Amino acid sequence: MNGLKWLWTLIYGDSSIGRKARIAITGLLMCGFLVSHLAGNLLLFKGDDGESYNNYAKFLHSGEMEAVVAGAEVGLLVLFGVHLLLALVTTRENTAARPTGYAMKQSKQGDSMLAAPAYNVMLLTGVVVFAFLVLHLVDFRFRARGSSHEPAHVVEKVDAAHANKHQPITRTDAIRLLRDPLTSGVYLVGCLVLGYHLVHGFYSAFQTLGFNHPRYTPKLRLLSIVFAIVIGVGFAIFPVWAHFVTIPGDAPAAPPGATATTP
Amino acid sequence: MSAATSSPTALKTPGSDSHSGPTLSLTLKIWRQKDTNSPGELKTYEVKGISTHMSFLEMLDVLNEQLVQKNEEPVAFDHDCREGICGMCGVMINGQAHGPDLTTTTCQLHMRKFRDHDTIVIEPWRAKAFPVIKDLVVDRSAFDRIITTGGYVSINVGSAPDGNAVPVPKENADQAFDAATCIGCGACVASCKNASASLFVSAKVSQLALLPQGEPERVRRVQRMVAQMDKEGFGGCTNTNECEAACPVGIKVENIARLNREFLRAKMITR
Ligand code: HEM
Ligand code: FES
Repeated sequence: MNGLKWLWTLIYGDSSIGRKARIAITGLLMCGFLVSHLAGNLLLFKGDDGESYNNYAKFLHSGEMEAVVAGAEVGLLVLFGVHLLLALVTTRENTAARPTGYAMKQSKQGDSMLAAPAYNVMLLTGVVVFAFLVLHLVDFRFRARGSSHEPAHVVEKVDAAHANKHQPITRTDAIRLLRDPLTSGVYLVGCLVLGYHLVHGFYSAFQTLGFNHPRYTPKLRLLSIVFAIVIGVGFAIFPVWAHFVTIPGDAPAAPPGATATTP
Repeated sequence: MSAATSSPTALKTPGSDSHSGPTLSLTLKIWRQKDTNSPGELKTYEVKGISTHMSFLEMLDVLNEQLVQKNEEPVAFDHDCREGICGMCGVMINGQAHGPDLTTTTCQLHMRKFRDHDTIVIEPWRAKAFPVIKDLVVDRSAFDRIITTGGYVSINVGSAPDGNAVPVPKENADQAFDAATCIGCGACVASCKNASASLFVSAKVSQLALLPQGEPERVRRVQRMVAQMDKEGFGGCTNTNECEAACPVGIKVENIARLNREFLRAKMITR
Protein backbone atom coordinates (compact mmCIF):
# COMPACT_ATOMS: atom_id res chain seq x y z
CA MET A 1 0.00 0.00 0.00
CA ASN A 2 2.76 2.39 0.97
CA GLY A 3 4.44 1.68 -2.31
CA LEU A 4 1.56 3.36 -4.08
CA LYS A 5 1.50 6.40 -1.82
CA TRP A 6 3.60 8.47 -4.21
CA LEU A 7 1.09 7.70 -6.96
CA TRP A 8 -1.79 8.81 -4.77
CA THR A 9 0.05 12.03 -3.88
CA LEU A 10 0.84 12.61 -7.54
CA ILE A 11 -2.81 12.37 -8.50
CA TYR A 12 -4.43 13.80 -5.41
CA GLY A 13 -1.85 16.33 -4.27
CA ASP A 14 -1.49 17.56 -0.73
CA SER A 15 -3.20 20.95 -0.83
CA SER A 16 -6.30 22.58 -2.22
CA ILE A 17 -4.16 24.67 -4.59
CA GLY A 18 -2.21 21.66 -5.82
CA ARG A 19 -5.42 19.78 -6.54
CA LYS A 20 -6.87 22.73 -8.37
CA ALA A 21 -3.71 23.03 -10.45
CA ARG A 22 -4.11 19.39 -11.48
CA ILE A 23 -7.71 20.06 -12.50
CA ALA A 24 -6.47 23.00 -14.54
CA ILE A 25 -3.64 21.13 -16.25
CA THR A 26 -5.76 18.09 -17.11
CA GLY A 27 -8.54 20.43 -18.30
CA LEU A 28 -6.23 22.42 -20.55
CA LEU A 29 -4.68 19.27 -22.01
CA MET A 30 -8.17 17.98 -22.79
CA CYS A 31 -8.87 21.34 -24.47
CA GLY A 32 -5.85 20.69 -26.67
CA PHE A 33 -7.31 17.32 -27.62
CA LEU A 34 -10.65 18.92 -28.41
CA VAL A 35 -8.99 21.26 -30.90
CA SER A 36 -7.38 18.40 -32.81
CA HIS A 37 -10.57 16.34 -32.61
CA LEU A 38 -12.62 19.20 -34.03
CA ALA A 39 -10.09 19.73 -36.78
CA GLY A 40 -10.39 16.05 -37.73
CA ASN A 41 -14.18 16.24 -37.70
CA LEU A 42 -14.15 19.20 -40.08
CA LEU A 43 -13.02 16.76 -42.77
CA LEU A 44 -16.58 15.41 -42.70
CA PHE A 45 -17.65 18.61 -44.43
CA LYS A 46 -15.49 17.90 -47.43
CA GLY A 47 -17.76 16.96 -50.30
CA ASP A 48 -15.40 14.41 -51.83
CA ASP A 49 -17.59 11.42 -51.03
CA GLY A 50 -15.74 11.02 -47.79
CA GLU A 51 -12.33 10.47 -49.31
CA SER A 52 -10.46 12.91 -47.04
CA TYR A 53 -12.26 11.80 -43.91
CA ASN A 54 -11.93 8.11 -44.71
CA ASN A 55 -8.24 8.50 -45.46
CA TYR A 56 -7.74 10.36 -42.20
CA ALA A 57 -9.55 7.56 -40.34
CA LYS A 58 -7.53 4.95 -42.16
CA PHE A 59 -4.33 6.78 -41.29
CA LEU A 60 -5.22 6.80 -37.59
CA HIS A 61 -5.91 3.07 -37.75
CA SER A 62 -2.82 2.24 -39.78
CA GLY A 63 0.04 0.15 -38.44
CA GLU A 64 2.40 3.04 -37.71
CA MET A 65 -0.24 5.05 -35.90
CA GLU A 66 -1.71 2.21 -33.86
CA ALA A 67 0.66 2.62 -30.91
CA VAL A 68 0.33 6.42 -30.98
CA VAL A 69 -3.46 6.26 -30.95
CA ALA A 70 -3.49 3.61 -28.23
CA GLY A 71 -1.17 5.77 -26.14
CA ALA A 72 -3.36 8.84 -26.72
CA GLU A 73 -6.42 6.87 -25.67
CA VAL A 74 -4.82 5.81 -22.41
CA GLY A 75 -3.55 9.34 -21.86
CA LEU A 76 -6.99 10.86 -22.41
CA LEU A 77 -8.57 8.32 -20.10
CA VAL A 78 -6.08 9.23 -17.37
CA LEU A 79 -6.58 12.97 -17.93
CA PHE A 80 -10.30 12.55 -17.80
CA GLY A 81 -10.20 10.28 -14.75
CA VAL A 82 -7.90 12.60 -12.77
CA HIS A 83 -9.92 15.66 -13.75
CA LEU A 84 -13.16 14.01 -12.73
CA LEU A 85 -11.83 12.55 -9.49
CA LEU A 86 -10.25 15.79 -8.30
CA ALA A 87 -13.26 17.81 -9.40
CA LEU A 88 -15.45 15.59 -7.21
CA VAL A 89 -13.05 15.79 -4.26
CA THR A 90 -12.78 19.58 -4.57
CA THR A 91 -16.51 20.07 -4.89
CA ARG A 92 -17.14 17.90 -1.86
CA GLU A 93 -14.62 19.82 0.23
CA ASN A 94 -16.02 23.13 -0.92
CA THR A 95 -19.54 22.10 0.00
CA ALA A 96 -18.38 20.92 3.41
CA ALA A 97 -16.76 24.31 4.07
CA ARG A 98 -20.21 25.82 4.64
CA PRO A 99 -22.38 23.36 6.57
CA THR A 100 -25.05 25.99 7.38
CA GLY A 101 -26.18 28.01 4.42
CA TYR A 102 -27.65 31.49 4.26
CA ALA A 103 -31.36 32.20 4.44
CA MET A 104 -30.68 34.80 1.76
CA LYS A 105 -27.71 35.11 -0.60
CA GLN A 106 -27.12 37.57 -3.40
CA SER A 107 -24.14 38.22 -5.62
CA LYS A 108 -22.38 41.58 -5.58
CA GLN A 109 -21.02 40.99 -9.07
CA GLY A 110 -23.13 43.26 -11.19
CA ASP A 111 -22.01 41.80 -14.49
CA SER A 112 -23.47 38.31 -14.15
CA MET A 113 -26.98 38.56 -15.46
CA LEU A 114 -27.29 34.82 -15.94
CA ALA A 115 -29.31 32.82 -13.45
CA ALA A 116 -26.67 30.11 -13.56
CA PRO A 117 -23.26 31.57 -14.42
CA ALA A 118 -20.86 28.93 -15.75
CA TYR A 119 -18.77 28.99 -12.57
CA ASN A 120 -21.77 27.97 -10.48
CA VAL A 121 -22.61 24.88 -12.50
CA MET A 122 -19.18 23.39 -13.22
CA LEU A 123 -19.92 20.04 -11.60
CA LEU A 124 -23.31 19.81 -13.28
CA THR A 125 -21.99 20.68 -16.74
CA GLY A 126 -19.08 18.30 -16.15
CA VAL A 127 -21.41 15.44 -15.29
CA VAL A 128 -23.51 16.08 -18.41
CA VAL A 129 -20.31 16.00 -20.48
CA PHE A 130 -19.42 12.71 -18.80
CA ALA A 131 -22.80 11.19 -19.73
CA PHE A 132 -22.46 12.40 -23.29
CA LEU A 133 -18.96 10.98 -23.55
CA VAL A 134 -20.12 7.55 -22.39
CA LEU A 135 -22.66 7.46 -25.22
CA HIS A 136 -20.12 8.86 -27.67
CA LEU A 137 -17.59 6.15 -26.85
CA VAL A 138 -20.24 3.43 -26.97
CA ASP A 139 -21.28 4.68 -30.41
CA PHE A 140 -17.97 5.52 -32.05
CA ARG A 141 -15.21 3.79 -30.13
CA PHE A 142 -16.86 0.51 -29.25
CA ARG A 143 -19.66 0.61 -31.83
CA ALA A 144 -21.79 -1.26 -29.40
CA ARG A 145 -25.15 0.26 -30.16
CA GLY A 146 -27.45 -1.21 -32.77
CA SER A 147 -28.94 0.78 -35.59
CA SER A 148 -32.47 -0.58 -35.65
CA HIS A 149 -33.95 2.72 -36.78
CA GLU A 150 -32.25 2.43 -40.14
CA PRO A 151 -33.67 0.54 -43.14
CA ALA A 152 -32.75 -3.13 -43.25
CA HIS A 153 -30.09 -2.93 -45.94
CA VAL A 154 -28.37 -0.15 -44.00
CA VAL A 155 -28.47 -2.07 -40.73
CA GLU A 156 -26.73 -4.94 -42.44
CA LYS A 157 -23.98 -2.65 -43.67
CA VAL A 158 -23.47 -0.84 -40.39
CA ASP A 159 -23.57 -4.06 -38.39
CA ALA A 160 -20.99 -5.52 -40.71
CA ALA A 161 -18.77 -2.58 -39.86
CA HIS A 162 -19.53 -3.16 -36.20
CA ALA A 163 -18.38 -6.72 -36.52
CA ASN A 164 -14.91 -5.58 -37.49
CA LYS A 165 -13.96 -3.09 -34.81
CA HIS A 166 -10.56 -2.44 -36.28
CA GLN A 167 -12.12 -1.13 -39.43
CA PRO A 168 -12.25 2.65 -39.18
CA ILE A 169 -15.65 4.29 -39.29
CA THR A 170 -16.32 5.79 -42.68
CA ARG A 171 -17.90 9.17 -43.28
CA THR A 172 -21.12 7.41 -44.27
CA ASP A 173 -21.16 5.32 -41.10
CA ALA A 174 -20.43 8.37 -38.97
CA ILE A 175 -23.31 10.32 -40.48
CA ARG A 176 -25.65 7.37 -40.02
CA LEU A 177 -24.65 7.06 -36.39
CA LEU A 178 -25.20 10.77 -35.89
CA ARG A 179 -28.73 10.52 -37.31
CA ASP A 180 -29.87 8.25 -34.51
CA PRO A 181 -32.42 10.34 -32.59
CA LEU A 182 -30.90 9.61 -29.18
CA THR A 183 -27.41 10.31 -30.48
CA SER A 184 -28.47 13.54 -32.17
CA GLY A 185 -30.18 14.87 -29.09
CA VAL A 186 -27.57 13.87 -26.55
CA TYR A 187 -24.68 15.05 -28.72
CA LEU A 188 -26.29 18.40 -29.37
CA VAL A 189 -26.90 19.02 -25.67
CA GLY A 190 -23.60 17.43 -24.61
CA CYS A 191 -21.49 19.59 -26.92
CA LEU A 192 -23.22 22.83 -25.99
CA VAL A 193 -22.93 21.99 -22.29
CA LEU A 194 -19.23 21.23 -22.79
CA GLY A 195 -18.92 24.69 -24.30
CA TYR A 196 -20.55 26.19 -21.22
CA HIS A 197 -18.11 24.26 -19.00
CA LEU A 198 -15.27 25.84 -20.94
CA VAL A 199 -16.64 29.39 -20.72
CA HIS A 200 -15.40 29.35 -17.14
CA GLY A 201 -12.95 26.45 -17.34
CA PHE A 202 -10.58 27.85 -19.94
CA TYR A 203 -10.14 31.23 -18.25
CA SER A 204 -10.17 29.74 -14.77
CA ALA A 205 -7.34 27.35 -15.53
CA PHE A 206 -4.98 30.25 -16.22
CA GLN A 207 -5.90 31.99 -12.98
CA THR A 208 -5.43 28.70 -11.11
CA LEU A 209 -1.99 28.26 -12.59
CA GLY A 210 -1.05 31.74 -11.44
CA PHE A 211 -1.57 33.87 -14.52
CA ASN A 212 -3.37 37.15 -14.01
CA HIS A 213 -2.41 40.44 -15.55
CA PRO A 214 -4.54 43.59 -15.68
CA ARG A 215 -3.82 43.98 -19.38
CA TYR A 216 -4.24 40.40 -20.57
CA THR A 217 -6.78 38.83 -18.21
CA PRO A 218 -9.81 40.71 -19.60
CA LYS A 219 -8.74 39.60 -23.08
CA LEU A 220 -8.30 36.06 -21.82
CA ARG A 221 -11.86 36.06 -20.45
CA LEU A 222 -13.08 37.09 -23.87
CA LEU A 223 -10.90 34.47 -25.54
CA SER A 224 -12.34 31.87 -23.17
CA ILE A 225 -15.86 32.69 -24.36
CA VAL A 226 -14.80 32.61 -28.01
CA PHE A 227 -12.97 29.32 -27.50
CA ALA A 228 -15.98 27.83 -25.71
CA ILE A 229 -18.30 28.86 -28.53
CA VAL A 230 -15.97 27.50 -31.22
CA ILE A 231 -15.68 24.16 -29.39
CA GLY A 232 -19.28 23.91 -28.21
CA VAL A 233 -21.03 25.04 -31.37
CA GLY A 234 -18.30 23.50 -33.54
CA PHE A 235 -19.01 19.99 -32.28
CA ALA A 236 -22.75 20.56 -31.94
CA ILE A 237 -23.06 21.30 -35.66
CA PHE A 238 -22.37 17.69 -36.67
CA PRO A 239 -25.44 15.94 -35.19
CA VAL A 240 -27.62 18.63 -36.81
CA TRP A 241 -25.84 18.66 -40.13
CA ALA A 242 -26.05 14.86 -40.40
CA HIS A 243 -29.80 15.18 -41.00
CA PHE A 244 -29.37 17.51 -43.94
CA VAL A 245 -26.60 15.84 -45.88
CA THR A 246 -27.11 13.11 -48.47
CA ILE A 247 -25.17 9.88 -48.16
CA PRO A 248 -25.26 6.70 -50.21
CA GLY A 249 -28.35 4.68 -49.28
CA ASP A 250 -30.53 7.73 -48.71
CA ALA A 251 -33.90 7.86 -50.44
CA PRO A 252 -33.44 9.79 -53.71
CA ALA A 253 -35.77 12.59 -52.57
CA ALA A 254 -33.32 14.28 -50.30
CA PRO A 255 -34.64 16.95 -47.95
CA PRO A 256 -34.37 20.48 -49.31
CA GLY A 257 -31.21 22.20 -48.26
CA ALA A 258 -29.20 19.01 -48.48
CA THR A 259 -27.64 20.07 -51.73
CA ALA A 260 -26.53 23.32 -50.17
CA THR A 261 -24.22 21.58 -47.74
CA THR A 262 -23.02 18.83 -50.06
CA PRO A 263 -21.89 20.02 -53.42
CA MET B 1 -19.13 44.24 22.89
CA SER B 2 -22.33 45.18 21.20
CA ALA B 3 -24.83 46.24 23.77
CA ALA B 4 -25.91 49.83 24.05
CA THR B 5 -23.11 51.94 25.40
CA SER B 6 -25.18 54.71 26.92
CA SER B 7 -27.61 54.17 29.74
CA PRO B 8 -30.96 53.02 28.40
CA THR B 9 -32.86 55.16 30.89
CA ALA B 10 -31.40 58.32 29.40
CA LEU B 11 -32.79 57.50 25.98
CA LYS B 12 -35.40 59.32 24.06
CA THR B 13 -37.67 57.32 21.86
CA PRO B 14 -35.67 56.45 18.76
CA GLY B 15 -36.53 58.73 15.92
CA SER B 16 -37.74 61.57 18.06
CA ASP B 17 -34.22 62.87 18.64
CA SER B 18 -32.08 65.39 16.83
CA HIS B 19 -31.92 63.52 13.49
CA SER B 20 -33.72 65.48 10.85
CA GLY B 21 -34.87 64.45 7.42
CA PRO B 22 -36.76 61.38 6.30
CA THR B 23 -37.00 58.38 8.59
CA LEU B 24 -37.56 54.72 7.89
CA SER B 25 -39.71 52.01 9.38
CA LEU B 26 -38.06 48.66 8.85
CA THR B 27 -38.69 44.99 9.43
CA LEU B 28 -35.50 43.23 10.51
CA LYS B 29 -35.01 39.49 10.34
CA ILE B 30 -32.00 38.81 12.49
CA TRP B 31 -30.20 35.57 13.24
CA ARG B 32 -30.36 34.89 16.99
CA GLN B 33 -28.21 32.18 18.48
CA LYS B 34 -27.41 31.86 22.17
CA ASP B 35 -23.99 30.29 21.77
CA THR B 36 -21.95 28.13 19.43
CA ASN B 37 -23.68 24.92 20.37
CA SER B 38 -27.26 26.12 20.52
CA PRO B 39 -29.43 26.10 17.44
CA GLY B 40 -30.28 29.54 16.08
CA GLU B 41 -33.16 31.05 14.18
CA LEU B 42 -34.17 34.19 12.33
CA LYS B 43 -36.26 36.46 14.54
CA THR B 44 -38.34 39.36 13.28
CA TYR B 45 -38.13 42.86 14.78
CA GLU B 46 -39.70 46.17 13.86
CA VAL B 47 -37.81 49.46 14.12
CA LYS B 48 -39.32 52.87 13.44
CA GLY B 49 -37.98 56.37 12.94
CA ILE B 50 -34.60 55.30 11.59
CA SER B 51 -32.83 58.36 10.24
CA THR B 52 -31.41 57.93 6.75
CA HIS B 53 -28.23 59.57 8.06
CA MET B 54 -27.56 56.67 10.40
CA SER B 55 -25.04 53.98 9.69
CA PHE B 56 -26.20 50.38 9.63
CA LEU B 57 -24.62 49.74 13.02
CA GLU B 58 -26.34 52.79 14.49
CA MET B 59 -29.61 51.34 13.27
CA LEU B 60 -28.76 48.14 15.15
CA ASP B 61 -27.91 50.26 18.20
CA VAL B 62 -31.43 51.70 18.04
CA LEU B 63 -32.86 48.21 17.92
CA ASN B 64 -30.72 47.14 20.86
CA GLU B 65 -31.84 50.14 22.89
CA GLN B 66 -35.43 49.09 22.28
CA LEU B 67 -34.64 45.53 23.26
CA VAL B 68 -32.87 46.59 26.44
CA GLN B 69 -35.81 48.83 27.37
CA LYS B 70 -38.08 45.85 26.93
CA ASN B 71 -35.71 43.75 29.04
CA GLU B 72 -34.81 41.54 26.13
CA GLU B 73 -31.34 40.33 25.20
CA PRO B 74 -29.74 42.81 22.74
CA VAL B 75 -28.41 41.51 19.43
CA ALA B 76 -24.69 40.74 19.63
CA PHE B 77 -22.65 42.08 16.72
CA ASP B 78 -18.96 42.81 16.29
CA HIS B 79 -17.60 46.31 15.75
CA ASP B 80 -14.78 48.49 16.89
CA CYS B 81 -13.61 51.48 14.86
CA ARG B 82 -16.86 52.24 13.06
CA GLU B 83 -14.84 53.99 10.39
CA GLY B 84 -14.05 51.14 8.01
CA ILE B 85 -10.51 50.38 9.09
CA CYS B 86 -10.56 47.66 11.73
CA GLY B 87 -12.48 44.90 9.97
CA MET B 88 -14.44 43.88 13.03
CA CYS B 89 -17.91 44.64 11.74
CA GLY B 90 -19.32 42.59 8.96
CA VAL B 91 -22.60 40.79 8.64
CA MET B 92 -24.60 39.45 5.73
CA ILE B 93 -27.19 42.07 4.85
CA ASN B 94 -29.87 40.70 2.55
CA GLY B 95 -27.43 38.01 1.49
CA GLN B 96 -24.58 40.40 0.68
CA ALA B 97 -21.44 40.74 2.76
CA HIS B 98 -21.41 44.25 4.29
CA GLY B 99 -24.62 45.04 2.42
CA PRO B 100 -25.36 46.33 -1.07
CA ASP B 101 -22.58 48.93 -1.48
CA LEU B 102 -19.27 48.04 -3.09
CA THR B 103 -16.04 48.67 -1.13
CA THR B 104 -17.98 49.61 1.99
CA THR B 105 -17.94 48.06 5.44
CA THR B 106 -21.14 47.54 7.41
CA CYS B 107 -20.21 50.40 9.73
CA GLN B 108 -19.85 52.73 6.75
CA LEU B 109 -23.11 51.67 5.12
CA HIS B 110 -25.77 54.34 5.39
CA MET B 111 -29.42 53.72 5.99
CA ARG B 112 -30.28 55.93 3.02
CA LYS B 113 -29.47 52.85 0.94
CA PHE B 114 -32.76 51.37 2.19
CA ARG B 115 -36.37 52.34 1.61
CA ASP B 116 -39.21 52.83 4.03
CA HIS B 117 -40.88 49.51 4.98
CA ASP B 118 -38.00 47.42 3.64
CA THR B 119 -37.40 44.01 5.16
CA ILE B 120 -33.71 43.44 5.90
CA VAL B 121 -32.32 39.97 6.57
CA ILE B 122 -29.20 40.05 8.76
CA GLU B 123 -27.13 36.91 9.22
CA PRO B 124 -23.66 36.12 10.54
CA TRP B 125 -20.79 35.07 8.25
CA ARG B 126 -21.34 31.40 7.47
CA ALA B 127 -18.39 29.03 7.25
CA LYS B 128 -17.27 25.89 8.99
CA ALA B 129 -14.07 27.73 9.90
CA PHE B 130 -16.01 30.68 11.37
CA PRO B 131 -18.26 29.19 14.09
CA VAL B 132 -20.97 31.49 15.43
CA ILE B 133 -20.16 32.71 18.95
CA LYS B 134 -23.44 34.49 19.50
CA ASP B 135 -26.06 36.01 17.20
CA LEU B 136 -24.11 37.86 14.49
CA VAL B 137 -20.67 37.40 16.06
CA VAL B 138 -18.43 34.72 14.57
CA ASP B 139 -15.06 33.40 15.68
CA ARG B 140 -12.49 34.51 13.09
CA SER B 141 -9.46 33.23 14.98
CA ALA B 142 -8.83 30.85 12.06
CA PHE B 143 -7.45 33.94 10.28
CA ASP B 144 -5.15 34.62 13.22
CA ARG B 145 -3.86 31.06 13.14
CA ILE B 146 -3.10 31.39 9.42
CA ILE B 147 -1.13 34.57 10.13
CA THR B 148 0.68 32.80 12.96
CA THR B 149 2.08 30.25 10.53
CA GLY B 150 3.88 32.83 8.41
CA GLY B 151 2.15 36.13 7.80
CA TYR B 152 5.05 38.16 9.17
CA VAL B 153 8.77 38.69 8.75
CA SER B 154 10.61 36.89 11.53
CA ILE B 155 14.18 37.66 10.52
CA ASN B 156 15.84 40.73 11.88
CA VAL B 157 15.69 43.32 9.13
CA GLY B 158 17.32 45.97 11.29
CA SER B 159 16.06 49.43 11.98
CA ALA B 160 14.51 51.57 9.28
CA PRO B 161 17.09 51.78 6.47
CA ASP B 162 17.82 54.84 4.41
CA GLY B 163 14.97 55.44 2.01
CA ASN B 164 16.98 54.49 -1.08
CA ALA B 165 19.10 51.73 0.41
CA VAL B 166 16.60 48.98 -0.37
CA PRO B 167 15.41 49.41 -3.95
CA VAL B 168 11.74 48.51 -4.47
CA PRO B 169 10.12 49.07 -7.86
CA LYS B 170 7.19 51.49 -7.67
CA GLU B 171 4.81 48.85 -9.11
CA ASN B 172 5.76 46.39 -6.40
CA ALA B 173 5.40 48.98 -3.67
CA ASP B 174 1.94 49.89 -4.97
CA GLN B 175 0.79 46.29 -5.26
CA ALA B 176 2.19 45.38 -1.84
CA PHE B 177 0.41 48.37 -0.35
CA ASP B 178 -2.88 47.48 -2.02
CA ALA B 179 -2.61 43.94 -0.67
CA ALA B 180 -1.74 45.27 2.77
CA THR B 181 -5.00 47.22 2.96
CA CYS B 182 -6.83 43.95 3.73
CA ILE B 183 -8.58 44.46 7.05
CA GLY B 184 -9.20 40.76 7.64
CA CYS B 185 -12.96 41.12 8.03
CA GLY B 186 -13.79 37.78 6.42
CA ALA B 187 -16.23 39.08 3.81
CA CYS B 188 -14.33 37.06 1.18
CA VAL B 189 -15.03 33.86 3.08
CA ALA B 190 -18.61 34.85 3.79
CA SER B 191 -19.45 35.69 0.19
CA CYS B 192 -17.60 32.82 -1.50
CA LYS B 193 -19.77 29.89 -2.42
CA ASN B 194 -16.97 27.64 -1.18
CA ALA B 195 -16.28 29.64 1.99
CA SER B 196 -12.74 29.97 0.70
CA ALA B 197 -10.19 32.16 2.46
CA SER B 198 -8.09 32.49 -0.68
CA LEU B 199 -8.47 36.24 -1.04
CA PHE B 200 -7.42 36.88 2.56
CA VAL B 201 -4.46 34.50 2.41
CA SER B 202 -3.43 35.83 -0.98
CA ALA B 203 -3.39 39.41 0.30
CA LYS B 204 -1.30 38.42 3.30
CA VAL B 205 1.12 36.41 1.16
CA SER B 206 1.33 39.09 -1.53
CA GLN B 207 2.16 42.02 0.70
CA LEU B 208 5.34 40.23 1.78
CA ALA B 209 6.17 38.33 -1.40
CA LEU B 210 6.44 41.62 -3.28
CA LEU B 211 8.96 43.20 -0.93
CA PRO B 212 12.64 42.42 -0.30
CA GLN B 213 12.02 42.00 3.43
CA GLY B 214 9.69 39.11 2.67
CA GLU B 215 12.11 37.35 0.33
CA PRO B 216 14.09 35.13 2.76
CA GLU B 217 10.93 33.41 4.02
CA ARG B 218 9.02 33.57 0.76
CA VAL B 219 9.08 29.85 -0.02
CA ARG B 220 8.31 28.65 3.47
CA ARG B 221 5.66 31.25 4.23
CA VAL B 222 3.29 30.47 1.38
CA GLN B 223 3.39 26.72 1.98
CA ARG B 224 2.72 27.05 5.68
CA MET B 225 -0.07 29.56 5.29
CA VAL B 226 -1.80 27.47 2.61
CA ALA B 227 -1.46 24.34 4.73
CA GLN B 228 -3.08 26.13 7.68
CA MET B 229 -5.81 27.53 5.43
CA ASP B 230 -6.68 23.99 4.32
CA LYS B 231 -6.48 22.68 7.88
CA GLU B 232 -8.95 25.27 9.17
CA GLY B 233 -11.59 23.87 6.84
CA PHE B 234 -11.95 26.71 4.38
CA GLY B 235 -12.96 25.69 0.86
CA GLY B 236 -10.80 26.04 -2.23
CA CYS B 237 -10.95 28.80 -4.81
CA THR B 238 -12.95 28.15 -7.98
CA ASN B 239 -12.28 31.59 -9.45
CA THR B 240 -15.83 32.77 -9.05
CA ASN B 241 -14.51 36.25 -8.12
CA GLU B 242 -17.36 36.92 -5.72
CA CYS B 243 -14.79 37.77 -3.03
CA GLU B 244 -13.41 40.66 -5.03
CA ALA B 245 -16.90 42.13 -5.38
CA ALA B 246 -17.61 41.64 -1.68
CA CYS B 247 -14.28 42.95 -0.35
CA PRO B 248 -14.83 46.26 1.46
CA VAL B 249 -11.34 47.48 0.59
CA GLY B 250 -11.22 46.20 -2.99
CA ILE B 251 -8.55 43.47 -2.73
CA LYS B 252 -8.23 42.02 -6.24
CA VAL B 253 -8.30 38.35 -7.28
CA GLU B 254 -5.05 39.13 -9.04
CA ASN B 255 -3.62 38.39 -5.59
CA ILE B 256 -5.09 34.87 -5.70
CA ALA B 257 -3.25 34.25 -8.96
CA ARG B 258 -0.10 35.44 -7.19
CA LEU B 259 -0.86 33.11 -4.26
CA ASN B 260 -1.21 30.19 -6.68
CA ARG B 261 1.97 31.23 -8.47
CA GLU B 262 3.91 31.60 -5.22
CA PHE B 263 2.63 28.27 -3.97
CA LEU B 264 3.37 26.31 -7.15
CA ARG B 265 6.79 27.96 -7.39
CA ALA B 266 7.53 27.10 -3.76
CA LYS B 267 6.50 23.47 -4.32
CA MET B 268 8.86 23.24 -7.26
CA ILE B 269 11.92 24.79 -5.66
CA THR B 270 11.55 23.68 -2.07
CA ARG B 271 14.02 21.04 -0.89
C1 HEM C 1 -16.56 14.18 -16.31
C2 HEM C 1 -16.61 15.32 -16.81
C3 HEM C 1 -16.13 16.58 -16.11
C4 HEM C 1 -16.39 17.00 -14.86
C5 HEM C 1 -17.22 16.32 -13.79
C6 HEM C 1 -15.73 18.26 -14.70
C7 HEM C 1 -15.77 19.01 -13.57
C8 HEM C 1 -15.04 20.15 -13.37
C9 HEM C 1 -15.04 20.92 -12.16
C10 HEM C 1 -15.89 20.64 -10.94
C11 HEM C 1 -14.15 21.92 -12.32
C12 HEM C 1 -13.77 22.95 -11.30
C13 HEM C 1 -14.61 24.11 -11.59
C14 HEM C 1 -14.23 25.37 -11.00
O1 HEM C 1 -13.09 25.80 -11.07
O2 HEM C 1 -15.18 26.00 -10.52
C15 HEM C 1 -13.62 21.81 -13.64
C16 HEM C 1 -12.71 22.67 -14.18
C17 HEM C 1 -12.26 22.60 -15.46
N1 HEM C 1 -12.64 21.70 -16.42
FE1 HEM C 1 -13.86 20.16 -16.13
N2 HEM C 1 -15.08 18.57 -15.85
C18 HEM C 1 -15.33 17.57 -16.75
C19 HEM C 1 -14.87 17.49 -18.03
C20 HEM C 1 -14.05 18.42 -18.62
C21 HEM C 1 -13.60 18.36 -19.97
C22 HEM C 1 -13.96 17.26 -20.98
C23 HEM C 1 -12.79 19.44 -20.16
C24 HEM C 1 -12.04 19.90 -21.34
C25 HEM C 1 -11.93 19.40 -22.44
C26 HEM C 1 -12.74 20.17 -18.94
C27 HEM C 1 -12.03 21.31 -18.75
C28 HEM C 1 -11.93 21.99 -17.56
C29 HEM C 1 -11.07 23.11 -17.32
C30 HEM C 1 -10.11 23.76 -18.30
C31 HEM C 1 -11.28 23.49 -15.99
C32 HEM C 1 -10.64 24.66 -15.28
C33 HEM C 1 -9.72 24.32 -14.18
C34 HEM C 1 -9.53 25.50 -13.28
O3 HEM C 1 -10.47 26.19 -12.94
O4 HEM C 1 -8.42 25.75 -12.88
N3 HEM C 1 -13.53 19.53 -18.02
N4 HEM C 1 -14.17 20.71 -14.25
S1 FES D 1 -16.21 48.58 12.77
FE1 FES D 1 -14.15 48.76 12.12
S2 FES D 1 -14.39 48.35 10.00
FE2 FES D 1 -16.44 48.46 10.64
